[in-house]
Amino acid sequence: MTRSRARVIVEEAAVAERVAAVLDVADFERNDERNDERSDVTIVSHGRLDQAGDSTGPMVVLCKGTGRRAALELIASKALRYMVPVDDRLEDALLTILGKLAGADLFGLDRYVRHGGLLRTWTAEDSQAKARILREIGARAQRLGCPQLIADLFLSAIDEMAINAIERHIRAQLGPIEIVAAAEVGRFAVAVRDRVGQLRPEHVLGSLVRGGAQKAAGMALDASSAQLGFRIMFDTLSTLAINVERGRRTEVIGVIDLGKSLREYRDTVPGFGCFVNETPE
Amino acid sequence: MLERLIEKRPDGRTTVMLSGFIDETADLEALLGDVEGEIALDLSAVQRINSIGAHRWIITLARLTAHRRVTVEAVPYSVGMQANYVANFFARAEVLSCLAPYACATCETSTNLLIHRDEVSLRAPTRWCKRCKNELVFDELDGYLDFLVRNRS
Ligand SMILES: [Zn+2]
Repeated sequence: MTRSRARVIVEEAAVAERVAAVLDVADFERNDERNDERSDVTIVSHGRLDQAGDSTGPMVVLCKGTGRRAALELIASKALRYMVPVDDRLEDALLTILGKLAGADLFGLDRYVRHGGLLRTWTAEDSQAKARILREIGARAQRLGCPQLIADLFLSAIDEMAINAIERHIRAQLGPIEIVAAAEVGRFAVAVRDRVGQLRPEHVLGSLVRGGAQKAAGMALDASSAQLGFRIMFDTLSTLAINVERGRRTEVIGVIDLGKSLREYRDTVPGFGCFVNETPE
Repeated sequence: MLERLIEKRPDGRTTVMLSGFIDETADLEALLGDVEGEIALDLSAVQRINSIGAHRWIITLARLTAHRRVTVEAVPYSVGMQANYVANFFARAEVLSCLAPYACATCETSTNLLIHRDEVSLRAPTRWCKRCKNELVFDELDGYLDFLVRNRS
């Protein structure tokens, strides 16, 4: 099997070094000098995006110091599918995305809590079950040392992840959805899984585009609330990852990184990944 | 679940205190539809609102505020977050106050404090820690109070 190839367009030498180390571990070959040949992935700093226009393959954007709002605007305006914040978790986040892009299984929380473990799995078929699970997740967050308001933000995101999935399951008469929690030191993650596999990246990114319009002009009374739901996820999570096996299943993963003040948390560049496996139907 | 507590004020207005969750199970029409005259909505006990609840809220408030005065008080953090996403979140209601997040760097504590819209200039108003008397830090981004001041007359 040939090694996957990555083109790297990164301005800061220190960051470039860190990226090179990750490429080694992920068994990627660098492809910088041969831009006429196909790259399997391009890794680019957000400040160098204009140089990546001729790149082939998926583009992973490394984002540093812009704040959350500008990072989300960038995702919306460029329809970015993969963003990695340049912070002390860069290596893990990049390794996760590269592994999935190179063909590893897209699904699972283990790639987001590499140094921790599974806490609990629940099933939810309706709003009552969801409310009970959210209470349990809130209590877990507190035990992990998560400040109350950040825990509330996390629960808001999980509420949106879950209600979307429950509604899809009710429509398709598929029974309960699955909710899974995992943790490691300084990190708490929850996955919501359905067996529908309908979610489309355009819809997820559309929530950011439409979000700007609703902020300025208001929400139409007949608008769908689902896009507002994704807007909430983007605004309240440290990392949002969406895995779709078209026609089969969806997994939405929300992660919070602990140890920040609310203000810092709200201003942090989020990690984002939207992975779609198109094959089955 | 969302519940209400109704109180008639001496000035003839009705205070409706909502408590619980504004979500897909909340029947806002049943909780607010039969209240007559001027309404003061106290949201201090609302714990969370989700996108379906927000959508219903916007529809209910549009109707509720069409022909009468409605004020909103003590908007909690979770509702304020969502109010900033949608320009018509409170329809024609006047938002008078909110519970805003502050933190004390000395005591390493966080607290939600009531602030009135008239106290907000470009920045959040100054508050002091009850315990150590130092100035508290406003623990949100500068744009967080937009929903409180955007319709200020
Ligand atoms: Zn103090």
